[in-house]
Amino acid sequence: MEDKEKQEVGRELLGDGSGQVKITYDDGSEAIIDSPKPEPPKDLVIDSETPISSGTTFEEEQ
Amino acid sequence: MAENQCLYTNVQLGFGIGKTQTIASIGCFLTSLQNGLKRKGYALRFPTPIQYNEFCKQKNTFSDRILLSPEKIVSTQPEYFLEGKREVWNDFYVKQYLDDPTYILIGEVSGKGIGGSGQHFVEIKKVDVRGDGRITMAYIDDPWGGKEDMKVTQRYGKFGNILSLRVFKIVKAPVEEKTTITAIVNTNIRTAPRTNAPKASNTGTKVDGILGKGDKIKNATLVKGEEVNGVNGWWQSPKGRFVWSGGTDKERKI
Repeated sequence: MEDKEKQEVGRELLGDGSGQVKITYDDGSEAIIDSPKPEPPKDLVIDSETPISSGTTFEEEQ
Repeated sequence: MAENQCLYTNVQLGFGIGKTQTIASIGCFLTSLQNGLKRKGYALRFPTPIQYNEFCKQKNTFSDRILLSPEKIVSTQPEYFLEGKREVWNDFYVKQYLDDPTYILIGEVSGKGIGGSGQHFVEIKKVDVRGDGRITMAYIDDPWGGKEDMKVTQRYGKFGNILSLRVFKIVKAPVEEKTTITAIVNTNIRTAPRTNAPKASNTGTKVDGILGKGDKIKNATLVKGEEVNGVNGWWQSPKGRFVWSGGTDKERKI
């Protein structure tokens, strides 16, 4: 049988303020990597054929 | 749990290049769709955005290296999607889509809500509906930070909330059984669903790497693995370890 490459099954931010991320694999092993917080995208257009709409209004809870 | 696109700073979206074309930077649509697929029963196939990103690359779903459109997704992934379309918000139809477990609803919101600009996409999970049928609030999973069940107005109220919809009808996922299993004999706990995989360590059992007779694993899910004595079903623990189902009270063939 072929050896299966291990697969990531989850990532979580370490809560220690280091900005590091713990990766969990399907074989139970883990790895820690640096993961700087990304900048929000600027002028991003993923799907240019977007329907024209003025948006939605919802009633906020008072 | 909703995926947080921001944690994937080291993974290029599609065939993107550079730091600005990672899942972290521009993977909101991909992550929202993967979140939806995961919730609808494809958690084992696409546990993180990485697997769905790779799948989209293999299927040639990306246009211009990084773009995803409903049409291309449906045409290249017929095993998962029956229909994909753009719509504007309509209270009646939104409620219908959310009541149907075979729909994933992605909402276009303004990137200004997360301090950026341009488009951003979130998954719409549920709505509050008034007696007259009017929707009074929408709740989203936002891949920016992996926020779950957030009122859309919290981030996007100043920017028009939901600007448009991407509606996907999916192929109903096979049932991924999640159950408690009990070992009927001492059974190896392995790191992969095959007999030549190393035994798992730090398993917390009486004998490390062995599920003793009578021991249980809660929330185990069934996966296909090596066939042993005609049985190819293996139980995967929430920690990603595997036990051959033939050694348990729930023998399964897939």
